[in-house]
Amino acid sequence: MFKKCQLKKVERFSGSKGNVYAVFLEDELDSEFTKFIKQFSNKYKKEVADILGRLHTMGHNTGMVEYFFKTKEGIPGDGVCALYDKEESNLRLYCVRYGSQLVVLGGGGFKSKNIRAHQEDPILEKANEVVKYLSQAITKKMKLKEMGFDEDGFDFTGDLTITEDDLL
Amino acid sequence: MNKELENRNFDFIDDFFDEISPSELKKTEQRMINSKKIADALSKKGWKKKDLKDAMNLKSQSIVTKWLSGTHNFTQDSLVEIGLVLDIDFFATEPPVNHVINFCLSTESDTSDDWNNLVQSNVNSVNIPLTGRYPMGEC
Repeated sequence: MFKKCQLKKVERFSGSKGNVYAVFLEDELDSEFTKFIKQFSNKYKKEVADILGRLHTMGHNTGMVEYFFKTKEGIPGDGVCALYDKEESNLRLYCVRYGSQLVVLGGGGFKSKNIRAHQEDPILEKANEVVKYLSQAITKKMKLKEMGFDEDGFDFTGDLTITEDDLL
Repeated sequence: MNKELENRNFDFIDDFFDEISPSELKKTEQRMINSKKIADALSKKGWKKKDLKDAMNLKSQSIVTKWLSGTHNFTQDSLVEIGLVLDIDFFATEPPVNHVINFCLSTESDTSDDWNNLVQSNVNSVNIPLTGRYPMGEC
């Protein structure tokens, strides 16, 4: 899936109610979230603006309320979810949610009206697989105690770069 | 770290935010705040979505999911109806904040008047009403 990744805090979204991270795969300069936003910012400007506004509000006003996400997009207990999207919306963004104060943004894609599940769309399925693999990688890194949560569960601590060695 | 990788940043977000009108951001924020109030009220009552659906005689639970999603544009009427069932006043204005200032006089040479003047001048600078006096030796 990937051999290396790095989590980096998105300062603009992070605030007194929660922290928002994005993931950079390999040595890429754009995060998966950045690529998602840049890909759709012209065609679906209003939806992209809505996504940015919601992420900002979570970090600064409400926290990462579970209901703001579609849960169970991964395996039970792995935190993999998607930002809630209405039936008529065109975009889906995958994330890993850690309680109501911490979320890692993955990538996403166009959500066709003609498909019912992400498994039916190769791009969405890949974005979902990356986030599921990321969740597993973070869990492994945490089991090695090289990464963890601060005492309030408000932020990550430790080494936020996950390498192939960690993933073995 | 590799020099190039140090350039990983999210500056593009600022550019997008510059293009989003404050009113759009405020609308998004208010929708989410309303949803959170409902979520908190459900939690306080120990209710699930189904309980709210039943209490409001809704045909489908999916509308409750939408209400809670942070994306729903509520009508004033629906906020009143939800508020009545969940004891939420969505239209309440923030109550005035009562600031309590506790401090202890520790230097015998300071008089309570000196301290009152000092506190009053600092409090005035942040516009907090201050009443009463703070005599020495009552900590």
